[in-house]
Parts: sequence; structure tokens; C-alpha cells
Amino acid sequence: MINNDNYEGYLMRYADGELNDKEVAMVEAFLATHPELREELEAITAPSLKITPPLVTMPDKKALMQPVVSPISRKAIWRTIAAAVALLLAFGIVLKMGHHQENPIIAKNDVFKPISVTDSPLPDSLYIGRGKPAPLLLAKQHKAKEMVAENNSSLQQSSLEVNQDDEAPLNVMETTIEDIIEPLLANNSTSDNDDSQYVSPAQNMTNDSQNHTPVAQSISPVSRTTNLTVIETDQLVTLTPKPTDRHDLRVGNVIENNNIALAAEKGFIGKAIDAVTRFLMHRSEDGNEKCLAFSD
Amino acid sequence: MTTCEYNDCVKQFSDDLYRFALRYTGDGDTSRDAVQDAFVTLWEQHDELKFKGVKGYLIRVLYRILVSIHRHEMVCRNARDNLMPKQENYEQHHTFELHDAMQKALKQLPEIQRQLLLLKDLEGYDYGEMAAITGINEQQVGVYLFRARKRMRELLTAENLKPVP
Repeated sequence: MINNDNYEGYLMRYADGELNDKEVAMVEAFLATHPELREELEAITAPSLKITPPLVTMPDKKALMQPVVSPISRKAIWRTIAAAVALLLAFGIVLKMGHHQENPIIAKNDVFKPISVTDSPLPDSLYIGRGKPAPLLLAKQHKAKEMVAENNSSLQQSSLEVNQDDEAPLNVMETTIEDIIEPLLANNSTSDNDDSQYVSPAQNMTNDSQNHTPVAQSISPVSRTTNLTVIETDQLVTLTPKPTDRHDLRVGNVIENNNIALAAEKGFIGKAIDAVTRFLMHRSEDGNEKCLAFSD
Repeated sequence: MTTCEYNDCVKQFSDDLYRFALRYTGDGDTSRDAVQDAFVTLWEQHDELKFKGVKGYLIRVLYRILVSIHRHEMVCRNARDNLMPKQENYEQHHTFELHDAMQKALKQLPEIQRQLLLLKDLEGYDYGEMAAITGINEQQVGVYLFRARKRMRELLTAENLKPVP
């Protein structure tokens, strides 16, 4: 209840609109009985007495601000990093593709039409590592063994030398044909029944070439005399057996060194070495794939 | 509150805070330092605060700073008066001071009346908010304000009636 001892608070709250309706009615009733207080209240609440802010501004306002690293800038940073990584990956892929395509011989595969041992693609039957037997290859070796026995004394073969450039090769693996043939011959007993699938390359060769050497005659002497150097390098310079006009280089006929020589002479070194590599692959008796030599 | 929002607070509220402090202290340097301290406090806690209602937070912080400054000055002044009663030129040199009649009248008010008057007239707080800031009840806020306005009217009337030197 408002009275002469506490009216100050009520009057001030009344002037500032801080009272509820009941309190307003009470204050107005009190002011009705105290008109001098109403005049005083009006005087002290005059707008001219209201405190006004000085017309100044905060000095050094910018010194209070903090540097902002906007989210856009962060996104830009990550975008830049992502773009750099993408460029590096693209560059690496291009280099990788270029590395695989640098052997021009691959692009000229159509030049060398293999003699028709069979019309079906041979690689599956020759790549033993793919889980299939190699009947054609084994039959070929079986046939070669028989022909070697018949003509062992009459054959003279030039050596096949695969030389490299004067520059040191990265990896060189040397082996002899004997090393290659022996494990193949060991499998002969398992492939005796595959002769029906075998068509000797010699049967498909024409006889008009003096340099022609039947495949069966070429195996054994080479296995005795030739050091075959298979080089894992991009630069094979010369192959120096006797050249031949034959174009029957293909997988399975690689042992015909004349064909390798021809391929090399014509500049298709990669083709020749590829054939050598395929030939050198065989499966050991325990079934584990073993690769004797590689070349590019 | 983000850094951008904090900077917005500086742009929007620093002038009001500075004027409030300047009315309270009458001294430009002291008011600037007080506002800077208030924004330092805000920055230290800006991660935990929201932009809405931040001005009230700043006023409360500034109020505490000003009260602390006032009390510190009072202690220093009393100490100087006791140690060097005859020395009169001990006031610091101030770069900027308010010398208008209103400021002179405000300086003669009790501290709590000056605070409430500034909170009410400069910031427009209601009684509940002023009670929360100052720590007194609303009825007492009304009493202090009534007395403050009554005293201001007396002082300003006397100032206006003072003959020009």
C-alpha cells in the first residue's frame, strides 16, 4: 500500500509504466490526495532532464575486431588441394599409359600373321599359368624330341644371340635353351595324347626358302649351342641369327630362331621377345607356375 | 557466436557502450579502456554466447568494470588525500572529458543513482533488468531513480541559474 514513506518508488514506477492496473489505480488515488506530488513527478520526468548520450564514437573501434577466416576461404583451400591431387593423378596416368604404348611393335601386330597352327587364339593354351594345360606346347616339344632323335647329327644351327645396347640393361637373366627344354621334355609323358592337336609349324612352311629350317630341326641344336639372353629392357638392338624371309613368327614357333631373327631384322624386336617370353613360360611338375625369363 | 558476429557486436554496440561509460566516468580514456575490457571479456567467451541478447551481456560486463574502476579511483583518491592533503594537482591528465552541465550534475549523484539513471535513460532497461544488474529489488530501483531525477533537476536548475563568469 502506498503511503508517505514509500511513495517515491511507486510514483517512479507509475511514471515509467511499471505498475499493474491495481497498482496504477492505487497510485492515482494517492496522487489525487497529494497534488503537489503529482506536480513534482511531472517536473522530474520532464524530457529535458533525461540523460542524453554524448555525441561521440568509440575510438579505435577496428582494433577491437578479430580477423576472420571465412568458410569460403577454407573451401577454396580444399578445392585447390583437390585440384592439385587430381592433376597429379591425371599426369601419372598419362605417363603410365605412355609407358605401356611406347613399344611401337605392338601396334604393328597385324603385320605378322602367324602361320595357321590352329585358328583358335593360342595364348590361352600356351599360358599355363592361367590354369589350363598347354597341350599345344607340350605336343610341340614331343614332336621336336622325335625329330631331334632322327636328325641329331645333321643339323647345324646358328646361334641366336640377343644382344643389348652398350648401355647397361636394368635386368638381365641368362639361360640356355637346354634349361628351357629339359623341364618341358620332362612333361612329355603327360602330353603324348595331345599330338592330334599339334600341327607342326614346319608343315605350314613353304620349302622355297633356302634358309628355312624346320622347327623340329631347330630345337635340339639350339638347345645345345645357343646362349639365349633375354633382357628386360626397352632397348634390344640386334638379334643375329640367320635371317629368313619367313613371316611365320608366332607364339609356339618362337624356337625357330630364324623367325626371331627375321622379326628382329625387320625391327619387330618386341614381337620376337614377346614370343620368346611366352615360350619360356612353363609349368613345373608340381603345378606351380614358373617363369624362366621375362622381357618387355 | 562466430567471429563475424563478434565483429558485428563491435560495430553495433561499441559506440553505445562508450557513451554509457563516458557518461558514467566523464573521462574518455577510462571509458575507452573499460569498453575494450568489456569486448575482451566477450571475445574470451564468444564461443559460449549467442548473438541475441549479447548487448545486455556487454552492459552488465561494462557495468561491473565501471563499478570496479570507480571503487578503485575512490580508494586511490582517499589514499592520496590522506598522504598528500595539501597537494591539489594530483589529477591525471585526461585527453578527453565531458564538461557539460549534465555531466557535472551526474558526477554529484551517488554512484547507484548515477548507474540506474544511465541504465534507464541511455539503455532503456526496465526495472527488472536494472534490478538484475545492480542487485537491488524493483521497488528500490524506483526509489533510487525518483531521488536521482529529483536531484538532477535541482542541480541542473542551479547550474542554469548560475551566472556566467
